[in-house]
Amino acid sequence: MIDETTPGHLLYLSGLVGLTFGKRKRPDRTGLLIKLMLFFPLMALLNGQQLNFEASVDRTTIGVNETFNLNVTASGENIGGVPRPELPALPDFDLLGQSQSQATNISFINGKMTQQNTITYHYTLRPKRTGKAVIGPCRLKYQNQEYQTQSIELEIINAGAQPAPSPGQTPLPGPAPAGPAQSENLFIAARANRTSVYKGEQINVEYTIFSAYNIEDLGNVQWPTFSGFWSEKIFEPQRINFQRIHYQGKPFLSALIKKMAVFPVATGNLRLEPMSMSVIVVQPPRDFFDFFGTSQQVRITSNALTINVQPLPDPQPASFTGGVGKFTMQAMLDRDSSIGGEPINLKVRISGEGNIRLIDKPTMPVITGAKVLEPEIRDAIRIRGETIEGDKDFVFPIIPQTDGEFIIPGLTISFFNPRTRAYETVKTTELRFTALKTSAVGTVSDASGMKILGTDIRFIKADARNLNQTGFSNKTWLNFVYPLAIVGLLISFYFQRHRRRIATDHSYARRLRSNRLVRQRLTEAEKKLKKGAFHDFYAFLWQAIVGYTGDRFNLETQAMTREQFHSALAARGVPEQDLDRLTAILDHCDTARFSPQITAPDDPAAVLQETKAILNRL
Amino acid sequence: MMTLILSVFFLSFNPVESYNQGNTAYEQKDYNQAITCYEEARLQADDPRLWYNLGNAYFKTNKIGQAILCYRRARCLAPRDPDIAFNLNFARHFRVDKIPVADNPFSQVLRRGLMYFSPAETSFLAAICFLIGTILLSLYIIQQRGGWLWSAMAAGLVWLFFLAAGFAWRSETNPDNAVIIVSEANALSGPGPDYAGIMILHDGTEARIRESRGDYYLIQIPGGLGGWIKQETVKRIFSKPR
Repeated sequence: MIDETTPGHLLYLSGLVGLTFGKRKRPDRTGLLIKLMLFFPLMALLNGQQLNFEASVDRTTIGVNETFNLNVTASGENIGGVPRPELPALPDFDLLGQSQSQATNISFINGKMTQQNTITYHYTLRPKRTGKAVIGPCRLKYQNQEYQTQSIELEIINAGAQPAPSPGQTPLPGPAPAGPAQSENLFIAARANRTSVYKGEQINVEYTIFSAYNIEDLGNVQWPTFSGFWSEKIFEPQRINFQRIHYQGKPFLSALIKKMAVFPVATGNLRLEPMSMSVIVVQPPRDFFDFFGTSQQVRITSNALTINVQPLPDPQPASFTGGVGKFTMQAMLDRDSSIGGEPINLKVRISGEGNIRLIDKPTMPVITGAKVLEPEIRDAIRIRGETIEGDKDFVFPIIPQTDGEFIIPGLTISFFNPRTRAYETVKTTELRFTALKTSAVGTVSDASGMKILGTDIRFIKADARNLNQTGFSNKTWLNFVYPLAIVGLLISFYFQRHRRRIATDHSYARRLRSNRLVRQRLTEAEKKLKKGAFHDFYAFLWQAIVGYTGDRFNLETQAMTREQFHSALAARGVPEQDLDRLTAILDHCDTARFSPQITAPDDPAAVLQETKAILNRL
Repeated sequence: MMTLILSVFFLSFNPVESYNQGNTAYEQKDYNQAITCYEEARLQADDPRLWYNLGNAYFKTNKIGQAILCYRRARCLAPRDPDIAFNLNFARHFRVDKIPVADNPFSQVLRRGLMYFSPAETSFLAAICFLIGTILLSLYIIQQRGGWLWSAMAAGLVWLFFLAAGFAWRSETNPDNAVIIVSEANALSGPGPDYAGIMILHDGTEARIRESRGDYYLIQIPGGLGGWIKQETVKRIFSKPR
């Protein structure tokens, strides 16, 4: 078998002699091959060469359980880029395997290099039924030409009835190795030393071939994948050694093919799939003419085994990590001191017999002041007698973080011993190491200048009566402080502006005080009216009107004549109607104030109300 | 069993009880139990002592990343507590990844100064300073006396300091600050398991989350290196800025 990683094109070019690669090629390999062939497309383009394309079989009469080879050959000059031929539909045959071989012949004639390639594809087929069968033409497309082979007619005869050299010969004596006879006289027995085990317990499986005939050329062995099991080979003979034995009262030739140890990794009824192989059965010569005897290729399959796997009993100890068998554990340190924070390796070795590969790492205790990293895992398997044993190493790097002496407590691991049907626990001894100058941890100080001297954190805070429930952060009133402060600032700013205006702007100041004054005077006037002091009433009313209009429009109304007053107010947009009325009231006041008689020509209260209304409108 | 159920029932309504029970468990060196109790208490309380003790319990169970996270939360609530500062520093020295942080003495002092008051105190004091400053400014505006102006400017300077402190805390408590909480995390060149690994980060390494895509975060460690790591390997230190 050629490794996937082999640079195939090198092989492809290298041969002056035929190279055979890929005994049983999986279909996905063809893609690789085609790619490799396309790697040299120039070769294919060199010139249109004559291509010979043929198909042949190694024999045309075949027993139903026999295998035969179909060879498809393409040959020609510089045909490196030839694609894989297309097989016809083969409904009457099983395709058991395929391979490819290639021969390249380079010759120099008159300084010109010619390259003769022969590529042969071998297909191993097995007929499914008896009678006449036809292998249809194989097709090949190369350089826009289609090539095709001739059909091959085959005769499939009832198994074992090998075509005799001379026709009319009677069948061979004794049962032929075919059909049901095969299972009695030629078979492979898969035998397990036990069929009911605990999960992870070892089972030994022997594959032995039994044959009542002479057989040779055992090959094309197909092993199952043993899914659901971890499998290890215990014994496989270099060459198969047949022994004569009596088995179930019959003489047999028997040989051990392989002995395996399998460890179930799942529970339930697990099936060990059968293995199969091809053998050639040799019939002894019957007469003088049949000098070498006859031989026949037969494919035989072993029986399948069913293993009943029980789960491990509960309760599993906490330190159980999957080990089933009998183990010991020891721990060691590669050094006993670390300088400058170098890691120290703690090697934990689990050795013994059992499913050593399936054991997981033991739990590492916490080492205060040191950091334990994930382990590196190595294992080694040995076979002693028929049991699998070995060592599994877990190498934990330990990085000391502080100075001082460190104690690694003993590690414990539990495993299930199927002999005693109980869990057993093993423990390592306590280990010690010292660490010095660990990466300046001992001298490093934080920004406060605090020196770290100890090798441990400070102790926890004491019990509490109450705990802060929300943290200090949710003080919503803080959100109002800023707008409030800004508003305060604005208020003070406007206040200051107002004050400055009062001091500098006379009309502003007068206007500001006008309301207060007019209200005072009107109230005063009202009081006088109630007392019946009409003189004073009109005096205050006059004051109120003149004062207010003066303050309101910043006019010296006190000193104005009636006409001046009228025109000044009219110029400031006081409505004609109101102005006339106001002048009339003023006239009336003048008359009332200075007439000796105290009369009330109009209703004074109505005059007061009217004045108020007009002044309000200003 | 009944007591356990009852106590769990009871604890879920009283964080103080859980806290004190956690302390008892811690003193008996049952750190995992202590973590359970503290974690329960912290659902309803946000107290520096609680975070500090929880950090200690994590540290004792060798979960450096979780411990650093707790200490940083505790420090945010009580920045002047020397125990918290000590243990945070101690835990940081326990990390596997020693990332050199180029911090000059001036910026260290500045940082310490800005973080002298906790975020809550900072915001409170900033508000008070602002209020005093505006009052002084108002007095100056009204009375036009130079003394008030100088005082107001002094208050404004103090307020600016608290403003800077507030920004410092905002950056400290940014939810993108995260810490590795698994013993080893592979930083990849892209947000998927098929990308090439860039570096391996270890428990306790503090990093900043730059981007989130699918199950992955793009994180950056101090110094600029970064990579995509699985979201469950890191934990954000703060869920919201303070």
